[in-house]
Parts: sequence; C-alpha cells; structure tokens
Amino acid sequence: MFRIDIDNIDGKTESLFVYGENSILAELEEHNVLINYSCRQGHCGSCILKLVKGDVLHQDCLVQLSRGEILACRAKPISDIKISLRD
Amino acid sequence: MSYTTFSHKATDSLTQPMFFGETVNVSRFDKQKFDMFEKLTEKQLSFFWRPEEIDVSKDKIDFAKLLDNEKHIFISNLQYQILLDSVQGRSPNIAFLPLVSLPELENWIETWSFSETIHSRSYTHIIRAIVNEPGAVFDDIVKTDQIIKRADSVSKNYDELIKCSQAYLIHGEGTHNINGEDVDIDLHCLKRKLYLTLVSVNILEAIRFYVSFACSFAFAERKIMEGNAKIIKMIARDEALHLSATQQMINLMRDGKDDPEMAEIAKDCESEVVEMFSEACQQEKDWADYLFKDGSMIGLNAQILKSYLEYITNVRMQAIGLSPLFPDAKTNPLPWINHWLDSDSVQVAPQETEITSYVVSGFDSNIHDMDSDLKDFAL
Repeated sequence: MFRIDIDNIDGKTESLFVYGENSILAELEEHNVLINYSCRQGHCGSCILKLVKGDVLHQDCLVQLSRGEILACRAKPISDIKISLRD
Repeated sequence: MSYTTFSHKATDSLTQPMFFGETVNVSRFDKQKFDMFEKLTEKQLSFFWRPEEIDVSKDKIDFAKLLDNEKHIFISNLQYQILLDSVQGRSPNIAFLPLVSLPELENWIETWSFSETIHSRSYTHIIRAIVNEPGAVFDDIVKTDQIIKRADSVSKNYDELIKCSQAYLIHGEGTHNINGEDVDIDLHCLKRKLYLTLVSVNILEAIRFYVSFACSFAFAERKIMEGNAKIIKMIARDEALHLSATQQMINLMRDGKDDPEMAEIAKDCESEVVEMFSEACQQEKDWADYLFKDGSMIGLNAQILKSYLEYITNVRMQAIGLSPLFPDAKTNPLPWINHWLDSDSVQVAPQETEITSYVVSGFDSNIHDMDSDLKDFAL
C-alpha cells in the first residue's frame, strides 16, 4: 500500500492509504477530500495538484504541466507521496 | 469583416483573436496561437470509433424484459440525446466557422462537429437493434412537448448568433431588417452573442448530456442494456473532450488572453451566465420528473438525479471560474458513474500510456546470487 499525505486540500491535512490502482482524484473522492475537476480525462486541467514528494505514474494529458505538477485524474501513486494545491 | 472562403490577404494568425479577426485562408498548423486546440483535434482523431463495432444484439432481449416505466425512461433518454447530438452535429459548423480566425481552432470545430455526427449514427444503430419500428421513436421526438421545450432552450443562442452574424457578414454593422424585424447589429453585440452561445454549448455538453449518461449507465450497472452503455461510454469520452474545449475558449476569453473586449463582455455577462446555468439545471430537473413519472428504476430515481444535477452544475460552473450555485451539493450522489466516465475504464493500448519522468526504476535488472533459476545460464 502507499501513503498519500494531503497537505491542506479542501481544508484537510491527513494521510490516506491506497493500493495505487485508482487515480489520485478517485482516491481523494473516495475519502471525501474534494478538489476541482471537470473532464476526468486529462484534457481540461481543472484538477492540477502539486506533487511535493514521491513518485506517480502519469498517463498522457493535453495540459501543459510545470515541474512538480500533476493532474489528479491522470496520476496514480507508485510510492508514498505528498500532495498539495497548486500555489 | 465579410466572409470569403479564401482571403488573399496575408495575415499572421498568431496576432489574430479566436473569433472576428481575419478569415482563415491557409489551413496551416506549423505555428499556432493556442496549440491546445491542435491537441484536442489530435485526441479526437485518435478516439475515432464506429457504432457498428459494438454489438447491441443482447440489448433487444434486455429491452423486451424491461418494465413499461423503464422502457419509457430508456427511450425518452435516447430521444433527448438524439436531439442534443442533432443540434451539435451541425450548429458549431454553421455558427462558429464563418467567425473563426485561427486555423487550429477552425480545424477543431470541424473535427468536433464531425464526431457528433458519429453519435447521431450510433443512436440509429441502437434503436434499430432494440425496437421493431425505429421510425416511431424518431417521429415522436418532435411531437414530445418536454423534448421540444428543451430543444428551444439549447438552440436559441445558436439561432440568434447565426441570424445576426449572417446579417453582419453580408451587410456589416447597422440596423438591418431581418424577416420584418429591425435588428441593430454591431461587433460588440455579436461578440456578446458568441460568448453566450459558447456558454450555452458548454451547458449542453457538460450538464444536459450527463443526465442522459447517468440513466444509460444506471441500466448497465444492473447488467442490462450493456451494448447501449458501451456506446454511451464512447460518447461520454468524446463529450469530455468537447466540454474541455468550450471551457478553454470561455476561460481564454474571461482571462483576457485572447480578445481584451471579450474579457469585458465576460464580466458584464456574468449574472446572465449564472442565470443560464440555473435555468438549464431547473429544466433538467423537470425532465427528471418526466422521465420517472411512471415510477423509478433500481438505482436511480428523480430525486437522486436532481441531486446529481446540482452537483454537476457546481462542478461545471467552478471549471469556468464561477461560484457554485448549490453550496450544499458538495458530494457526488452517484459515485458509481465515475467508473464509466474515467478514461481508465476505456481500454487503451499500452503504447498510449505515456510514462513520464515521474516514474522511477520500473524493474530491477541486476542478477544476484540468490536468483537460483539463472545459476546454470551461460551465454
């Protein structure tokens, strides 16, 4: 299992434990940590998060991401990670 | 600005706004002002599918076993989607193409509208498979008051923009008599109509469609009408792309990254846009009552669908920088729908999954003493 440390997202700072089978967006929704999203397919960029620590498997997307940014709908953790909202 | 299919004027598309600049002459994609539209086109082309690839033969058996109220939900739902895709299969071309000024955006609009025609063809494929007289289903669309009421709502912004932009392209600015009515036309009011039309299209693709998707997927959650759900899943994948495109256009306009006048218009229109979202949400709630008028189905009823509508309206409003209309609707009352909407659920070939630099060592290629299986191996 992997640990997702959430740093002040939707007013929550907590840790989730996940198997890494679902997208980070799906895991956050499952645990009632709500973030903006829209297309769920990596086209719109509504669900950009900052990856503070750790590694993710990131599927292709149409959005130009800066270093350290991920799309919650396209990324799955492959190690313990820490995420926060984009500055 | 008057429309010509090939202007001889040399223009640099990098300096043009998305709409109401110079007409596009050379379809060139070597340089792009907004490469997002090129990416959207490429993605849409990679999504190409044909309804005949999906077997819906078992759906006929399932449909025959549905209760009468479930048949009403299923057929009415399809009829509504037929209406929406009939509008979307032609209107972006007619409304937006004469006004567009960027080659990559022109190309996207054509690709977008074409994909909607595949959706229309797929409804005929489904209906032919499940009912003995498909004609009756199509004929009823324009005879059903509840559908017609919403047809007016989804087409009125398009029609207004088309009417005024055609007059503008032929006669220019001024007061023109159109069908016995004097209409004042200037560029500012046309830009305003364009902005509101884009919002109306976003509402159509990002909210109205999702009511229908929820119903189709609710049947498939019960392992019935699964061929239909497979087709709707492909349609939903396309629509997610389309709604991203209208969101991009609206956000570029709102942020003043395209035409500065559009940023002012977006600000002026904000309360009108909020009202459009509110009105559409209410119409869809009325539709939910009509769908379930003879009874609910397992897993879905009018009340849950209305809660989902409030939730999805909030999501879509936030995506274009508006405050949510329904502060209490924070969580998705139909969480299972995401299984159908997430792209992971649509099978992709391994080479389509890009592994980015975030990925660390995929596997360990070192051979150690304890790997006894390889002990006798020699080159």
